[in-house]
Amino acid sequence: MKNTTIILKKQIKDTINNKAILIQFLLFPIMSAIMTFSIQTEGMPYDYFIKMFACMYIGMAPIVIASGIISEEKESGALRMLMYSNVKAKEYIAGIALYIVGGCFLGCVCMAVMASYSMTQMIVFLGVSLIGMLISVMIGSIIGICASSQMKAASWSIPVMIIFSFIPMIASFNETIRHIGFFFYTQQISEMIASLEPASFQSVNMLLLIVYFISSLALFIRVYKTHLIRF
Amino acid sequence: MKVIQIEHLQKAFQNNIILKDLRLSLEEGECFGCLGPSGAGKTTLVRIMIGQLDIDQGRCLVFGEDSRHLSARVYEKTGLVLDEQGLYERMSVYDNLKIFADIHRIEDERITEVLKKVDLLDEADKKACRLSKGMRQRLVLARALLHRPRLLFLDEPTSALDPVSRHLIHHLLLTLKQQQVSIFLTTHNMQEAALLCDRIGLLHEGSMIEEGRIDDIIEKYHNHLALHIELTDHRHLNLDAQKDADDICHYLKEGKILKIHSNEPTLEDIFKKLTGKRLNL
Repeated sequence: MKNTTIILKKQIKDTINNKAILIQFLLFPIMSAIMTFSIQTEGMPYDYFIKMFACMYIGMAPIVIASGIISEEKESGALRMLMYSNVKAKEYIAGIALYIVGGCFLGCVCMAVMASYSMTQMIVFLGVSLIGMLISVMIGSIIGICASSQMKAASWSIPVMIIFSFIPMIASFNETIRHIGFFFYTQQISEMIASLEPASFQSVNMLLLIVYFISSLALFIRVYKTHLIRF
Repeated sequence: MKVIQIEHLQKAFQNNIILKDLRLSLEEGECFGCLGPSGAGKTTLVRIMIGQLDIDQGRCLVFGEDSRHLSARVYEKTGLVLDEQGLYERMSVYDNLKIFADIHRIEDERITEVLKKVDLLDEADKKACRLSKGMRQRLVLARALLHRPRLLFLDEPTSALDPVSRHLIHHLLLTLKQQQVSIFLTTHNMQEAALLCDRIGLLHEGSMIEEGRIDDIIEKYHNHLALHIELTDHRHLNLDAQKDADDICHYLKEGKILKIHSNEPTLEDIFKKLTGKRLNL
């Protein structure tokens, strides 16, 4: 636990100087604030942009940040030095995940506050976002662990995050894409966030999220054991 | 007590044999230099010893533990300076050390102490990415020394460094030797090996072709009959003490000899004699 806290503290310190990561955390909350406060047309829900950008945020930021951090530390040899200093791989991953989920969660809290949600809506919004973030962090970590360099990680994570984050938005304009998007976790999150009423959630939404969570966790554990455990 | 013990070690990548039937040991407080040109297998050997690579045959023990399953206890006693520096580029020199000080549960005063030792105290607030090559290597060494290790693995620690940084690192390593810290050093710099190492091993294409104390190795390949003479007219002659005895006596009688030296081979000469190749490649 102590080492996880050290990794977390290190990441927080590094964020101040790492503009690429800082932008990932701030971009979507700021964008949704600008759009929400500047564009309000009749018939458009007040939280339209918040919900749209929240989905993109969940599907984009954790993937890019996790893959970026892990691949950078792997490439520079910093991760190896941590391991030789008796930081266990699971402590390292936990520290990184905690940092990313914590940062993105704060962003989502800001978005929820901006939308003036009721307590129930806020809990649903943050709960669903949290599940999405965890799945995204695992996907980002898998990319970061497998990629031999930061450059490779970026070239893998960009198409993955574009597919996951843009599908829900494009799906609202195209029926075919909406059918395809049904199999993406971000689409399920988008639909759940759209209603924010637990009673209106379909069991298939929940089931698909659980399947995504379990399969990404299983894949993550496999990649972790084969690639990271031997650093 | 043997800190490192390697017996019949063999390592291959696919069908390419990197290390062949290697045997070596490192005693407590000793500095062992592994000399060889690039591609000889030095870095692979270090990576095996620190548990990063598996071995195919033989065994490698570090503090009595199999290198494939080193415990936290061994890593706590080990400091590393590898070819990958592993610095946090956007963080300051101090913060780079603070992370590892926290991991090792070391008091902050030790960071200042180590920074003083490597002459980086004035650069403590400087970001790692702004440091010169020499300063970076000193920071890596500071990180390796932070937790007061009993064994240091140094993989070409002064390679391509400026003379000032090299001298500082040499001075520091000599101090550590006095403190009975065991050092395993890889280098292709024979002067460095001669200065720091108690024993050396010449590694060529994965095999240890010669191993022992530097003086003993030099003595083994020393031809005592070869003499180098500088005459008063500044001519330099390489003569054989037996074959050219008459000439040497003649020069002595005439008082024409300014300097006379025995022709001791350097490690470079010995390596070239054994392999036909130069050491510093």
